[in-house]
Amino acid sequence: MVGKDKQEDDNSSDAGYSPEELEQLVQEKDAEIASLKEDLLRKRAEFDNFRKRTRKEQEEFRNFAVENLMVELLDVYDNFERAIESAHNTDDVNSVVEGVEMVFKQFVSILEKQGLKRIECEGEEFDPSEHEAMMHVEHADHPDNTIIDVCKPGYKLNSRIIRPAMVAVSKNTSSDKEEK
Amino acid sequence: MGKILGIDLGTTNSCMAVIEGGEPTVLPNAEGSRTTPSVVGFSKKGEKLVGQVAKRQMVANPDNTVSSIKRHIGEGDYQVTLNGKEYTPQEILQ
Repeated sequence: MVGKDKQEDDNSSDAGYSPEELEQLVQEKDAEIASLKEDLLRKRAEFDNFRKRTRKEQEEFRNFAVENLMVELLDVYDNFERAIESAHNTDDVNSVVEGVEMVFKQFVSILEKQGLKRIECEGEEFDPSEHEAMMHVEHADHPDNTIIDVCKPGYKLNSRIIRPAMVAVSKNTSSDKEEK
Repeated sequence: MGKILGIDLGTTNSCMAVIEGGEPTVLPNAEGSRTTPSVVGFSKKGEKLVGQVAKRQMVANPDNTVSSIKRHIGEGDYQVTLNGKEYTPQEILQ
């Protein structure tokens, strides 16, 4: 098409068009512009609809993304209900504790199946990508920048940190000086 | 035409957005959140840290973490020291 246009241009400069031919050429171009304009409008409307639909789908997805997890957690719900009920009807503390422990295990295994992983960090070097420093404690027994206490464990969901471990970090000025 | 990136550089949080199909869309950061704390710093190992990660080390490494630097833009002689080097607020932003 580009080639053809070029040829026409060449013709106009070489031989020249008659006014009728020029008139027709303008009309052709006008028609082309009109059809392109319409095309553009249609595409724009299409895109708007697409965006609206995507947004709606996303919203729906967001509202029901937890559905699978919920269904699995309902088992835990039931078991807790049962455990509380039987706890009221018995004096045997050990069996109640045992029951609660079993439900807890089930709960943890469901969360782990969904990709949850606890961040184990006690005694490791402080790393801000996984840990959040809550306290900075002077400590002679531990090397500088080491986690000496975990106030709240952190968790990863499918390798993304969803809650950093809240930790206390040691501050060892003597080892700091040695390094320098 | 290239895309235009709008940056809201806040004192405590910053946020970025682009125009997409006539409407602004916020770009989430690598951690998936829509705003990023306006905090930068160096870790004790010397790595550059930006945003949430820098904020988490603030308590443990206050000397090498900068926050709310926006407050000090334009103060002629305001400087902070990071890793033994002095920076003006404008240099921090870069």
